[in-house]
Amino acid sequence: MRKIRYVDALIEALREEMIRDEDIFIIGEDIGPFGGAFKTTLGLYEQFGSERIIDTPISESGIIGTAVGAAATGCRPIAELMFGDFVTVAMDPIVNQAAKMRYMFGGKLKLPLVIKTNYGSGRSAAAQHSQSLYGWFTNVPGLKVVLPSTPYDAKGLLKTAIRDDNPVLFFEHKLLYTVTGEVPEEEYTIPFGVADIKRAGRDVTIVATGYMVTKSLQAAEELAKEGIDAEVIDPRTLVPLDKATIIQSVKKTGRLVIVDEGHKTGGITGELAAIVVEEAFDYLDAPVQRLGSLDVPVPFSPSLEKIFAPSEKDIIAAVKKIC
Amino acid sequence: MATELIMPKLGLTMTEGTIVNWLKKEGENVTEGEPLVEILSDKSNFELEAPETGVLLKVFYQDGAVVPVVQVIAYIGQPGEKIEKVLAVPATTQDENTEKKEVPKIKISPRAKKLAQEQGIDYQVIIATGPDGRIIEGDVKKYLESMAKVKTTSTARKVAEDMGIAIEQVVGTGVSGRIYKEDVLKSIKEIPTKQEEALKEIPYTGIRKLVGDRLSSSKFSAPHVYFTVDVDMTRIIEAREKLKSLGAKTSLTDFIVLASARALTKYPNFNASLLEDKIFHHKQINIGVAVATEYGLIVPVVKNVQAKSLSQISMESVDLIERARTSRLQIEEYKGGTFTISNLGMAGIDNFTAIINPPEAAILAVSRVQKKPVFDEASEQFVAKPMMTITLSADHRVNDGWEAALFVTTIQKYLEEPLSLL
Repeated sequence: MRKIRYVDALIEALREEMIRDEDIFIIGEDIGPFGGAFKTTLGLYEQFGSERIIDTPISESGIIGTAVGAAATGCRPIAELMFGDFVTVAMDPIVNQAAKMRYMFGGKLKLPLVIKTNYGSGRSAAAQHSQSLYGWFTNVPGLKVVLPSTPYDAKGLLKTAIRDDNPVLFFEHKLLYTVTGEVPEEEYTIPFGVADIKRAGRDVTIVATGYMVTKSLQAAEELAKEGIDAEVIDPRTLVPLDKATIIQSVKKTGRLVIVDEGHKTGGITGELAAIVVEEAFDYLDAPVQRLGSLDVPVPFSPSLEKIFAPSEKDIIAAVKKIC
Repeated sequence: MATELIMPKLGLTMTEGTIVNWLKKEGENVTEGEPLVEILSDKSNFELEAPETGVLLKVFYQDGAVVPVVQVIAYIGQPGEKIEKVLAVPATTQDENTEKKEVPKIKISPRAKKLAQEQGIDYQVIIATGPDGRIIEGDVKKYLESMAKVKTTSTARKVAEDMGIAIEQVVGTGVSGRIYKEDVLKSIKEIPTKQEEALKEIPYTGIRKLVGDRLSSSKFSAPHVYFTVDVDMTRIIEAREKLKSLGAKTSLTDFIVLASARALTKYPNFNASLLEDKIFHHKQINIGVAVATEYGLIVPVVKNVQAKSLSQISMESVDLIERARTSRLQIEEYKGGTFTISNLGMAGIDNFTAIINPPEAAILAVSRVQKKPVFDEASEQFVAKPMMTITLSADHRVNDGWEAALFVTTIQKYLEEPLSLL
């Protein structure tokens, strides 16, 4: 199979969907002739023009507000935020409008909106451009939250997000854009709520999200050398969440390590751990281990940033602690 | 070095013991084997003896203290000897709220705990290898394996291997059947080597397997306790002769069935079944009589014995036993028993114990009648009397020893005075 970059898989999904459906447009900052701050819309302006690839001033609240209105009135907008951190400026249209409208209007309107942005540390982009805030939106019913970890998942999940009639928040990790992976040339989509077992194993279950899947797979290879056979599960979508695959794996291995780049306190790792303790308590052979980013702002200094998020070493240590 | 005296673990379920009374004071001389302290476990009282001669150097817990098992409670040594520092676990006294008792918490993973519970293992005896000293699933599995394994010394295993002997077949003479080298050597002549073929192979199937599996499950799940009494059969034999002369044929077993039924009416705990978490007392008294047939052991059941006369019991038994021998019993005729009698008197057995027929709660083993010298109080002389030994096997989960003793002696009294059966 051909191998392409994560970012190219995303652009391919956008292009194919925009050709398929004329109601789709993209709105955001520097996404036109510039091709996006992370080149995530490169070449689309030339193909679809300024009416469907809309450059805006620095106005995140306006971008999302416009997109919500357009979605409610029949378009299928894709709103891009240059950095996931800027979502704070647009919280009201997301949380109080997008997430609620379909429910409050008794299902009389659809809200086919994709909010596409990036997240994560590792590029020395400092505290206001490196956060992993997707966990917040799992606490707002009405929003779907997607975290693709490979080029294949990125394309398949983005297509599903665009075709969904509800608001979807789509989070891409900055360090994944240039990663290559197998992506078929033929059409495919990946359903939401279906976790992917990225590596099968029998000794310990590692549930990892986004870029942490990569780290966990590397850790699993190291652990295999020492005779520990780790299973790595990528939920792919946090909302809806595929609990069954996680629980089934824990029933098999009896051990669980959860790795997520969000802050440990009040984040995704706690939610996942609670689910397993509630539903598979009798199958646990060791305390659940959670790895999240440290509870500090993301440091600018590369040497400090390195220890901020869970590393391959941290994952290996957590596994060994319970194996 | 001073010797530790620890709170002993007297049973799998014992987690702590109470110091009732120190029989020696700190500083007093003690001799090896001398009672030192009185301990109360969850089941009984006993005296802990001094493990060696010396001075009771230090006592950590006073009378009334509740102490976790294996905790050091005192030191014995030579006068003036220094003792190791002991971090005494704070003791609680019995008058305190029981919830406050300091029992060392055993760490065990939920997965391991579930497995231990399913296998009916007391996990307190399992060695933990998990993180932070926690018992994990693997530890429980290892324990189960070790239980299943033959207990042997490594030398014995080596010798057996060298000689080509199947070690599982060697009878161990050590503690809890541990096999020593001598046992292996002794068995060389008796046990066929691994390569040698058996004389004849009989498949373990059908009635053999049915009976075998049921009885092993009974023996291994129901704790059996045994109660034996000798019964003076003089009057029964007289009664039987009299009935015979009147044309009524009765067997000794018929009398025993009737006597058992009368005793069961008084002691319903033996006409009972333990199922799941409840003990059921049966309304009917249905007595099974074990019959040896060429097809194996069959236990036809005389139903509703409490409502039947001796002649009715006798007639039914003759018919049932005859049809059992010729394999013509209906299924319901050997089902529904609530108590069983196994009579091996005809085989010339002096005494034996029987395995309870599940889900019943007791079984009566009956041996032969033979004349024995019995001391007669009235004439102050030994006189020859026809004596018969009966042994009750009772399920200790359902009933206690005292009641079982009363029950079996009640049967004895009925048999010794058959008029009381009327």
